[in-house]
Amino acid sequence: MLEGIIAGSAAVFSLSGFLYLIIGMLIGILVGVLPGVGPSLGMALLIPFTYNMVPADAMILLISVYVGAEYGGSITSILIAVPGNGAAAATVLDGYPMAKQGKAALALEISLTASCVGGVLGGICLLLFLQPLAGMALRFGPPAYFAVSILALSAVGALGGKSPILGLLSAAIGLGIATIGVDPITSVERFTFGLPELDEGIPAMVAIIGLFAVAEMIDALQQKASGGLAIAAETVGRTFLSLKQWRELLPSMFRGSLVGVGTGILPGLGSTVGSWIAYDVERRVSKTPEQFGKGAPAGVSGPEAANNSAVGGQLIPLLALGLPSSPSTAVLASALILHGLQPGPALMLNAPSVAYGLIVTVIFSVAVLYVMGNTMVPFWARVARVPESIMVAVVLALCIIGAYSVRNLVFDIWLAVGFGVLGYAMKLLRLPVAPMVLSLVIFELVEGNFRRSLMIARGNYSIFISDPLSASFLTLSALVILWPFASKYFRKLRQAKA
Amino acid sequence: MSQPGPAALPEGRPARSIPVVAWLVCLGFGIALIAGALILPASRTADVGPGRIPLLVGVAVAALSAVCLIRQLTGRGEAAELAKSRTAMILLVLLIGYCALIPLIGLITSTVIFMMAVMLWLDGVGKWLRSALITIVFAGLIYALFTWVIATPLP
Repeated sequence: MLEGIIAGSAAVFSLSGFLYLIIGMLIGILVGVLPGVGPSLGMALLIPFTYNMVPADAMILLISVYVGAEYGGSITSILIAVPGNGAAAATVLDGYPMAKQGKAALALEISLTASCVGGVLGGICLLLFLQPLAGMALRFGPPAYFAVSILALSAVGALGGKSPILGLLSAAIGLGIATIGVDPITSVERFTFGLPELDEGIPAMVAIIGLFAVAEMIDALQQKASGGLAIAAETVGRTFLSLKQWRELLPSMFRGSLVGVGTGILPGLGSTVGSWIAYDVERRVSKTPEQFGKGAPAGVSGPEAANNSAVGGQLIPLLALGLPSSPSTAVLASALILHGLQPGPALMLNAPSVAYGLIVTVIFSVAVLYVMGNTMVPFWARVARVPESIMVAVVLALCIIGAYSVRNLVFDIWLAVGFGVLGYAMKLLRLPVAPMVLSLVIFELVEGNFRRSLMIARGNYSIFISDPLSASFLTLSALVILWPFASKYFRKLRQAKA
Repeated sequence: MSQPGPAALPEGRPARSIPVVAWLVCLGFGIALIAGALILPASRTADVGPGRIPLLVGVAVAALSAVCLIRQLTGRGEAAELAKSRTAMILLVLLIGYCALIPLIGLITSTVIFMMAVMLWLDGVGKWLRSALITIVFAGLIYALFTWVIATPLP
């Protein structure tokens, strides 16, 4: 392994390797900022430019884009409530309120620092636990995957808003909307009303753009007209975190990183689910959970650490087993194959400079990200001071263009507007948006594994109880759903006794 | 976002019946999911079929909506009091107009018209030059991005 690390480091610290790392990071941040263009699309667009490169340099470039894009997605989440990619959607919940309170620079710095901590920890985990963790992921069968998705939905739904009923309703409606499209197993059209644009289902990114960004712009303007919105003046000064802030936020970054690595290893979960689970974990361990959704710094640091540490986590099954566990690692796998390399254990033996170069890049790119990100924070923070008229016009135009660019369909523009209206109505009804977004993102995981489990068990539902991992996750889900009701009951009981 | 927005617009009385209507719509959505799931063909293999998840989700939506509706009717509802939202409606009309124009006159031209309309509405005609400059630069950047970077055709 040591020889591999030395070979990988030599590739990264060569003049060309370092240059590609910087270029990749810059492209990655920009890719992350653009709504609708996630890390996988960003990397896919760059692959043709890597044909003539040395494989190690090509992988350094692509991994830097990946790391940069995972961070870059949070910039627009914080500033204009438009997540650059799905993994940055959870950051909107507290990042945007912080920006509205005049703390955009602080929120951006927390996001950058958490992304760096998550990136380093994800990279270290990748190096240390490559073999044992890959083996553990293989024990997850369809019932366990179904159960862990239900746990994620229950946690975000039941603990997502003021009322667990409203949160669960939002998650259920999201699942209902996600059933639209051609069923992947039987090819039966479900609720498509004969529209071919709905065959592939509702694209989650289009829904996210509408539910978060379009709804937020309508709401911000309406509140301002009603005199209910006051946006504090931005204070762009020193942006580095103080020692006190480090002490307060480091535990959340560690927790987020662990969640990110865990969800990164499991196929299909990835950084998006990881960031939502990390957000939920932070709210649960917080002494002031009522601050979440109103600008809690831990609501930014947890998810941001998770989505960057997931990069390391997602590389574990790719390098240990040759299995891409997310769209981004699938793009990386195809890039490796294009360069004549087979992802998997053989890569370590046949091309150690490429395999370990990937790992060294994940860890070292964080230092470049920190320097580059800090240089840019004051610039991004000024965006929050742009006059409201310009902000609304530009963001809504970006939403429409972003929605179109997801599948190059005008139909998606109407979908985004429809989801914007739905999101605004949900705000008025106090229905939290986050559970619906998560439902749309992980629906395939829920339904696919539910049906695969029942196929294995020949229709016997007891498989979800007889599988120990599934039983544990479903029990946890039940506890998570019942917890708000139980705690309310016990609180009333205590008050009655007092 | 420190610029003052449009002058305070007259807002209507809180409409308490709207949450009731909203929960009824949710209940209807749940029932529609159940009905839709029941007419989907059953699978001929070991698979439970395409209707099972929509059925279970429909039951959950209907049950949770019913709880919300009952709580609303008994005065324990969580939904906010709703007021008429004139500003939101104007913005929505502009947005719908923008989307309707895209297939007719193209994305770039409609973007220019939409952005100018929003900025002139919120800032007044006094700042038309600034609005025009921002709009032209933004539209130019989008055109360049789609044409030379992503190489994707624009509508």
